[in-house]
Amino acid sequence: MQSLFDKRVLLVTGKGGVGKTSVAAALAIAAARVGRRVLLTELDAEPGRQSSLAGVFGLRELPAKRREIGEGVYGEMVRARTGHEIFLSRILKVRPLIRAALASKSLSRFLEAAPSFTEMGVYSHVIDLAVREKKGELENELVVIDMPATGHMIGIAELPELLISLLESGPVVRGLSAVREFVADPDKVAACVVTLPEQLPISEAGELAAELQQRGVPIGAILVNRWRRFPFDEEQWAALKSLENAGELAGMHRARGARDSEAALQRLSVRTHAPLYRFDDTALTRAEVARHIADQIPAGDGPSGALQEGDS
Amino acid sequence: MTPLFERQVLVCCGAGGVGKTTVSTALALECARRGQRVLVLTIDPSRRLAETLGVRRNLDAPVAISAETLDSLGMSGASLDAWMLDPQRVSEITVDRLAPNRESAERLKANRMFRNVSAMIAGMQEYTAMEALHEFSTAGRYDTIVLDTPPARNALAFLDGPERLERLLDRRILALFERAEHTSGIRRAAAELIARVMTAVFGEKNWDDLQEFFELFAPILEQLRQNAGAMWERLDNPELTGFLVVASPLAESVADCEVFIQEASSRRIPLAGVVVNRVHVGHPEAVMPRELIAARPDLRVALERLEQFAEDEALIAARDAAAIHDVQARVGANAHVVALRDRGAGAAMLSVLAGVGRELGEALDRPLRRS
Repeated sequence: MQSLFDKRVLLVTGKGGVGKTSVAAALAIAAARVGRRVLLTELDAEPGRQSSLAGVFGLRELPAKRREIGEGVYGEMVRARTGHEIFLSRILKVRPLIRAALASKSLSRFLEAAPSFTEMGVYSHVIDLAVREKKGELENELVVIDMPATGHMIGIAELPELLISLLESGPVVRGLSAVREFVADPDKVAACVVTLPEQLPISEAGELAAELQQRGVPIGAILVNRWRRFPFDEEQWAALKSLENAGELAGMHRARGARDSEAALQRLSVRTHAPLYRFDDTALTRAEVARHIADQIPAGDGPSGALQEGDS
Repeated sequence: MTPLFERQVLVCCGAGGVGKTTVSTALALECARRGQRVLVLTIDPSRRLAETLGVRRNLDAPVAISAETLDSLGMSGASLDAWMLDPQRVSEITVDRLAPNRESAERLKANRMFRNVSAMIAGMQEYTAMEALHEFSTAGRYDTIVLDTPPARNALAFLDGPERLERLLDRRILALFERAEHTSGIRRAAAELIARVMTAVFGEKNWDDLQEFFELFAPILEQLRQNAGAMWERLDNPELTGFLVVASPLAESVADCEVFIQEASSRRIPLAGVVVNRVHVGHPEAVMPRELIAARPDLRVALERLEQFAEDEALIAARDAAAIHDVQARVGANAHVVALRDRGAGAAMLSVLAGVGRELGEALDRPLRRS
């Protein structure tokens, strides 16, 4: 498998509370450490509100214009409005029309009220980040995106499809077909599904991965956060269980979780044909977790080494 | 004041991924156990929950949870219906009911833009949920309706839904879609310019469909807005309604919950309680592995390794306890704060949910220590 850091866009996704934001930041930091020009961004940022992703770099929100936010990582806030401008200027070759369209308050209000068009704007901005060039070189070799927590990811993944089937023809459809091709190219795009070594999150990650694959989004990796190796052999485990029979023994709950989740993680990796990367962390702050995880991603070719398994 | 479990409407708000549907179902089970005739209404539920309840999704009307299922929960004779709907289906049902005539209903349902209306229009899901609530709460078939609000990025989305749709119903926006031939004078010139831009953006056929969509749908949206307005007046009434916000012990969720609490108080929403879900509880009576090393030197290596897991457990339990403390400080004495421990995959089992319901019931029955 081609290294994750050789892709152009990493979509970091997962259900709420699995540590997705820390992993996204960690991937960007690790990519910068091996010399990639990497840009980190998030969808769904609300201007003016504290962004947890920006918080990893000690900022309140990502900068409006691309600049370094720390440790060699660049940031730029994705905005639907910027995306609309990019999109319209690409599909409408007639300059005065673009100006008329963007100057119309009612039209921009409509585009904001209709979520598909908002997301389309977001999409256009993201693609632009990935393909933008400066002096004949890619401005960003790699774009790492912290995706929204809920079912939204699916929304974004199916958006081109939805709009193409909705609009059938016309300039918007031509623009979106290009987007769809880009997102489905496994050399360029990989979804990184973040999960926890627990039964429910693993099954939710499995559903998420299946839905993404169904929509043509390639899965690049399954990343397991807050992982701890199950460190006992059969004999030790049996002895601990008999101790537990005598009275409640702290640690057994999580140890049992580590044991049970291992098999489920292996199955998930096989089913999605995606390698498994496990990161251990403790309950530190998000910023510490991001660096702690980045430290576990060895230099060279993306997450690998002792923690990686199931590479195909 | 009417006890929470006897109010007509219980609304569960919360961001995606906190287990809102689980809490709604548990609440509904508890209301049914207490003898109410209950409907649990969910928009866009997970497949798993529908399977748990033994109910199919997207039916045209609510269905009863089977007597066998209720018997197995020790709730023989209880009455619990569920309706689990895809927002698009709710929109269609709404159009059937509210369109001025059959012909325009059929034309609208055949319109390509309408066929994706729930994805196209922000706030549509919240609106359709309100519409369904409005219909059932005026029909009198149920004593209690538990509304599981549509999946959203944050708990506030449900309160904000109407406002978002309002923006789309703005006359200036609707004017964009007016057909040039229906206007005259300056407005006609403006309409023609807009038509040129829109045709260039969307293509001619799509522009046509968009115009038809707004022409047919605007009056229905207007009706929806009125019904929602009427419904909101009842939702404001603590005799009739109770709001619960569901959160998880994670920092973002606690912050989201805080925003909701502030808004609820400024909008005079009757907030009955905050449910902190998926809490990891500590086991103070559990023995720490290292304490056993002296007695079992043969297991030293294993016990030392287990100690790490025990420390993890303690850290997580402490973090969750701090989150609950935080929520309590924000809520004050005005509403309940209920912590529900993490049930793992058990949350998909009806018997577990019935137990959760009972726990919720006991906690929410306790009198508040108002200052």
